[in-house]
Amino acid sequence: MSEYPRENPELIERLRQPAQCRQAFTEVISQYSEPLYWQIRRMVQNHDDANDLLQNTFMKAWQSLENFRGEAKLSTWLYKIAINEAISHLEKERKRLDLSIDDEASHLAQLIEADEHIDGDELAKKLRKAIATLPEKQRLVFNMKYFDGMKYEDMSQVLGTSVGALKASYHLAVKKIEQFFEDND
Amino acid sequence: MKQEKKILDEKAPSDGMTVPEGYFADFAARMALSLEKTEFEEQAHQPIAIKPRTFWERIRPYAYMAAMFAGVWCMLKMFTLMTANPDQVVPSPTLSKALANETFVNEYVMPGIDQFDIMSQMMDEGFDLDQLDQEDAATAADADYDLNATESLDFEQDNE
Repeated sequence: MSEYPRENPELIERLRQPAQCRQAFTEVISQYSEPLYWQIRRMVQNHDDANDLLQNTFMKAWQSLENFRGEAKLSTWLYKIAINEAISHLEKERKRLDLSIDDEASHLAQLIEADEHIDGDELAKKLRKAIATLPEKQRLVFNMKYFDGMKYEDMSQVLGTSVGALKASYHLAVKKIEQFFEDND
Repeated sequence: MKQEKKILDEKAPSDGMTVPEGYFADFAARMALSLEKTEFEEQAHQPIAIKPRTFWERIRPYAYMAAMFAGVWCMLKMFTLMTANPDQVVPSPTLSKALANETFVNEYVMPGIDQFDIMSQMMDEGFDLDQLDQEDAATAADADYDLNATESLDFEQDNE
């Protein structure tokens, strides 16, 4: 999919200058919109929702730019905002449709079936459905590790979980996906 | 299952999702245009207000300098007092001049005076000598009492 851009100290410095922040933020949008989009899309499955949530993510980041002190990585900061947006959206959807956490997997499977923006790869679709059966946090961990190739240390900062717990979570997720494939063979 | 398991081992995994053509380029342009002006950004256009200096701010360096010199002077004074020799007579021009004056010596320095002269002068000035004797007697009695008390205490301690 899309790799995260490397941290650019010069860009971060410009983000903190009121006179240059707009131009710098435009560069941030260009660099980070794709990886953040895929992260959100894998959570919510639907392109239109992912598009709205990506806009909200950048809008929130822009409004709270003053609070970004450069202590955390820019990608970590943006990832956190994006993930919070995606999780909030899923919670709202659960409430709106009166779904339990167990029902969510079948709801996401329906969204995957109805998705217009797919390349027709049946195996990939099956993988998406398998991922949709995972609990929310395991899904996040799996997506970050499997698709983005994110380091556990960086994931730990984004999700606020220890590296050991993340490794265990990823291992469990892989087992569950393998089990899903076996059950749906 | 073999093929499905293989997908998890792939180095460049795909989840089969796509986006409309040119989506990301378009998104960045749309997003950049929709960014509203923030307070943080407006800070760049605000002139930096120069605050007038208060009276204290203006005199502060001089006040600090004066305090520093006063401190140094006090330290030197203390040092001089602590290191001065008490036996050393400080030559005083006033005292030298006074001692050189014969009248001053005759009037203020009285080398031949004795106790009888003092008593006579006191009686001439109306001082009651009997009262002085009574006070002396009372003082002596107090001293005896203290002495006896101390001795008896010592005696008790010895007995113990």
